[in-house]
Amino acid sequence: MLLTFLYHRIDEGKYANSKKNIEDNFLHLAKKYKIVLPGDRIALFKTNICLTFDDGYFDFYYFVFPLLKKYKIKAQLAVPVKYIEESTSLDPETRLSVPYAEGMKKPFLSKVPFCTWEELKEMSDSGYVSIASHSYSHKNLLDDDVDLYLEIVESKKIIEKKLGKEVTTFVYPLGKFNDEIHKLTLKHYKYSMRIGSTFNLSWKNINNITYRIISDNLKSKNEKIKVLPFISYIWFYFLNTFRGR
Amino acid sequence: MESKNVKFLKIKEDILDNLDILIFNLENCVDAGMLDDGSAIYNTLEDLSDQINSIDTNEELEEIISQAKIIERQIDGWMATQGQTSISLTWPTL
Repeated sequence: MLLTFLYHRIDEGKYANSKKNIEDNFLHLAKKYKIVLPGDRIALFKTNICLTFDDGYFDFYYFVFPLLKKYKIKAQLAVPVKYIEESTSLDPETRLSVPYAEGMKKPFLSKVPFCTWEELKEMSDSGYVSIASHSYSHKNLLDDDVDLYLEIVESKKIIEKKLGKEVTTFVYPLGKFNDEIHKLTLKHYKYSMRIGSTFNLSWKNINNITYRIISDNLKSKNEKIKVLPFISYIWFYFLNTFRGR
Repeated sequence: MESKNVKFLKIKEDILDNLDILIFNLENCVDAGMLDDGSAIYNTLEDLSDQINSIDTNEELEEIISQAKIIERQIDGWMATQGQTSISLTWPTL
């Protein structure tokens, strides 16, 4: 079985975990479970864990990357390509100061709140981080004015050109897609991910998608692996499978 | 006196956490091709974990930490040969 956890920022607030919480969580997971990345072999009869972080805020490079190196575990980082700068000399405090919901807005982009290409390349080359596409501009892909080719296909090409590595995974921004979008995604990526609030039986399940469990605001290091959440995971697995997504 | 005992137990727990992490790291490295003849490194880590329970002096804990750090350096060294740099675990200071 595969549990894929979704995190956003290392901070205080709704879409975040504190540095202590995330370290406690990583320590707990690293000593008990097999940590895998999309495409890795899933150990049978064991709980496999995939750690995924969305949006690529600078706090991933600043706080999470050192923890991955410390515990020798791997994680996936999904980035919206449009907001990535080449490099920056801005100090970490300025970059970390941008609130979660504001990062993609113009006035805050000058603070370089996202990882730069230079930082993404370093993390990708380290072997600890796999970079996924989180589209080009993080728009709702169901909106009429969205250029799907740019969001899904071009974003992959840009990352591959910048990092010199194949991008295998697309993470739906805001979790929004339909059958046509999903077909286009599967034509260009091996794996796609959305929030599904359940476990996975394989990387693709029946619907060619990996489900993730939101793991922001953790109250304890093993909150998402207790018995009670599993009851809801089972329910959501059947619901997702039945809905065909 | 009680708080000293609690602190000592907490240190033991932190060391056990690190030993668990090292065992997991070692297993991953062996899966990826690192040599551990006769599972010697693995058995040493298991022995260290077993010993912790019966230890009641700082000196003995220091000895455990020192042996564990040697193994940690072995694992880090092997990972470096695979192009992966790492950061040392946080070990308790006694």
